[in-house]
Amino acid sequence: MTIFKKYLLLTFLPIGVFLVVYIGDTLFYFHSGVVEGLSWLREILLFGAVAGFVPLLTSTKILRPADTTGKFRVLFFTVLLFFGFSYIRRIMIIPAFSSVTGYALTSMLYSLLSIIALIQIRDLIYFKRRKGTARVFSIWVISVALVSIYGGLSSKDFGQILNIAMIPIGFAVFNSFRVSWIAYLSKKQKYQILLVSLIIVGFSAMLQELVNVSAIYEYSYSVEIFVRLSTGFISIYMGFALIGLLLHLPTATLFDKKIREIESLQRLSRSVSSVLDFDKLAEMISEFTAEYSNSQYSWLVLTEEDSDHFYLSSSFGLTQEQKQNMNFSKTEGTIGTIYESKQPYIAQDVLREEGTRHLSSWNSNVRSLVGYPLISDSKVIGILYAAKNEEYGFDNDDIDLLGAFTNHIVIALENAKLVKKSLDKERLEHELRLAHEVQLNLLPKEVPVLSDSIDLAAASMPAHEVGGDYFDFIEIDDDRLGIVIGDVSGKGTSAAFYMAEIKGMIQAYSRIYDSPSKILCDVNRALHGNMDRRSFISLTYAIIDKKKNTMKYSRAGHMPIMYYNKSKDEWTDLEPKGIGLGMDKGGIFDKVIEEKEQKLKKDELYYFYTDGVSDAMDENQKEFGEGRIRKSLKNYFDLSSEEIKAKLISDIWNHMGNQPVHDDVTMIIMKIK
Amino acid sequence: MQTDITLKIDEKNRTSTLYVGGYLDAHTASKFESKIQEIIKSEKYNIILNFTELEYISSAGLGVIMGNIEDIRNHDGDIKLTGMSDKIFRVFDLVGFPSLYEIYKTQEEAESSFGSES
Repeated sequence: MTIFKKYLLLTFLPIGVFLVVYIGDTLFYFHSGVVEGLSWLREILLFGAVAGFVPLLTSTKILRPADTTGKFRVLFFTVLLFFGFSYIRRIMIIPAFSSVTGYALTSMLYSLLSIIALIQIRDLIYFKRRKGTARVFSIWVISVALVSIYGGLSSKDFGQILNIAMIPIGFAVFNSFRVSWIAYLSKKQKYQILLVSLIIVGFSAMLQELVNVSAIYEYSYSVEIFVRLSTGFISIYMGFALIGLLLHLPTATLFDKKIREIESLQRLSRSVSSVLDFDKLAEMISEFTAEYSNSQYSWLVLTEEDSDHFYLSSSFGLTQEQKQNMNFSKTEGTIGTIYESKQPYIAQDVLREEGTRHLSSWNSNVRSLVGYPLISDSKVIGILYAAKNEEYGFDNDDIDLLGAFTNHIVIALENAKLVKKSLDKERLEHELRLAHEVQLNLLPKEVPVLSDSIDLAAASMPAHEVGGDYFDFIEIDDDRLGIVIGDVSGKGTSAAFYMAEIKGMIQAYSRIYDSPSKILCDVNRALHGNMDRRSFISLTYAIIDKKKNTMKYSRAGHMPIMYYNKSKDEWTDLEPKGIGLGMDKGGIFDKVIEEKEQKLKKDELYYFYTDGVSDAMDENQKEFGEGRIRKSLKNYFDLSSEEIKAKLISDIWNHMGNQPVHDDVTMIIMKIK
Repeated sequence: MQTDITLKIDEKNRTSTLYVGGYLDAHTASKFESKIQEIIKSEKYNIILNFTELEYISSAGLGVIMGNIEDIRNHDGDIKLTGMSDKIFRVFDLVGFPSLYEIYKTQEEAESSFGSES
């Protein structure tokens, strides 16, 4: 709107000047004869009015290819109006037109129409605007102004100053080379504009004669010269445009195609960067390929992650049966050839070519085919195919387009893969965090106190987020306490769930049976079959009875209990026979497992542990070992269980130095006071 | 840290022996697994695992043996173990392998244990 207002103001001012001159004319010129001394002032005023339109010619806007036809529409109607008006004026030399009013109106209208036409031409010239573009156009404007004023002041019409007029005409020619907008027209637009230009050239050429006949020089020399030079410029420019258009016509189809290619590439890269779902992306690639290469079929084969096996990722136009009959061997057929050469494969006549004859075995309709390798890191990660029902279906442009496609596709596929990977990783981390929390909740928060004489301490330190080690205290009743220590083979989230299962089972069975071996047999039976065959759980279960002052225990493939008798200074491994949970259906497990019982006496120490303790290695891969465990325990024997635990753990850490922790470390210390 | 595994298959008339050396832990278990699968794929089900050169085995290694035994025994074959050092035997013994698998002192004994069945 503001632009419109600006234009209104800019046109209002010159029209006002025209009006002032008109009033002057009616007062002096035609009534009281020529006021000789004032004719130069009149010329300057009139030309000033025309020049007042000039600010309309300055513009910072850049024409877009789509607006070109709009410019021609305005230009066409302006020239048509110009022609129509001047033609009527020519055939109707009526007194009204010869009056001062007629001359003034005609001059003003001609100037205005010239300016409007010039604005259109200027926008076309500025299509590819450089510094020089504006300069050359301005020089033309200035030269027109100078020549017009010269004519006006020396009272010469256009015909009389033709030799000087050659200067602006020369610059007009110079400006007329700027027709780069032609290149951006579609084939259809080129034909349309060619026709319009032809008409404009014809009409504007005739305008020269018509303006001359209108004899507006009788009104003002400078205005006449301006109008003649402007219409001349329009003719010259349109003439050049016509030639340019004609020269571009033979390549118009090709150009259209190239532009379509660029557009489809842009569309592909746009769509592709917005789709991060791998399968959706693959589907899209097949569809796009078929669409832009005008193929009936398209399919995308990719290599599996970490292997060279090809599989069909997506397809377009293929039936279920055809897909099933495809061959993905990387040593045979087109896949083999492309995989080996890393070059595109083109078969223009599928049935006649050795390498592609086999295609008829799964799709008898394919007559021509292009296969393009998708290369990332100089490795073939997949092949994109397009195929048609006709022989010689692909020309060089189609093949080039596919080539350009594949570059985008590789990037898009790799992107989607990365996103998928990081999503998978995130999901896994989330699962691990969950499992970690589950596991933390499974371990007892504090050590129970059964009696004053039984001093217990426990610790469990997982090496990774989710450990395989497990321990538990089960307060069976007021007199009895169950001690569980175990190690689930195969870490990760599954370990946490096995633990939860075991915890529940042992707690339930403990209230039914007073026998560790019986409980473990039942747990084994329940676990076997539900567990991964590669996993097993080693576990020791002991029941402490403070009334009887005994410990009953069984071992399912776990580390023995280390037992120290201070008064005898004697170490014993408590190691009843038994195999890991989940390794056997039950027959052998039940037969093998032993249960032992022993009296608890003062000054004894029982040490339950997992192999993470004994296997903790130093930088020379020397294990901490049972010897060091015994030595530490003996050294700290007089301390409380809690203190012994702390000291032993720091001994283990010291032994490992800065070596990474490989396995969970879990221990329970029971000292009889 | 040196944690590599060495794997070598020795095919005899009736038996396939897999010599396992070095470290068999969670990292190398997949290599061990694929070697055993290779033997099974060639339809040899009398398998001897020779651990003479083995320095370390973790529960993941035991898991590979357990994971394949059912398939092999279903084909009237077996996995028999031999050549264990005391340290390695201790690992197998603690978990209770001797109750579930035949373990032999020497390669010859393991081989002839298969031979005597025919």
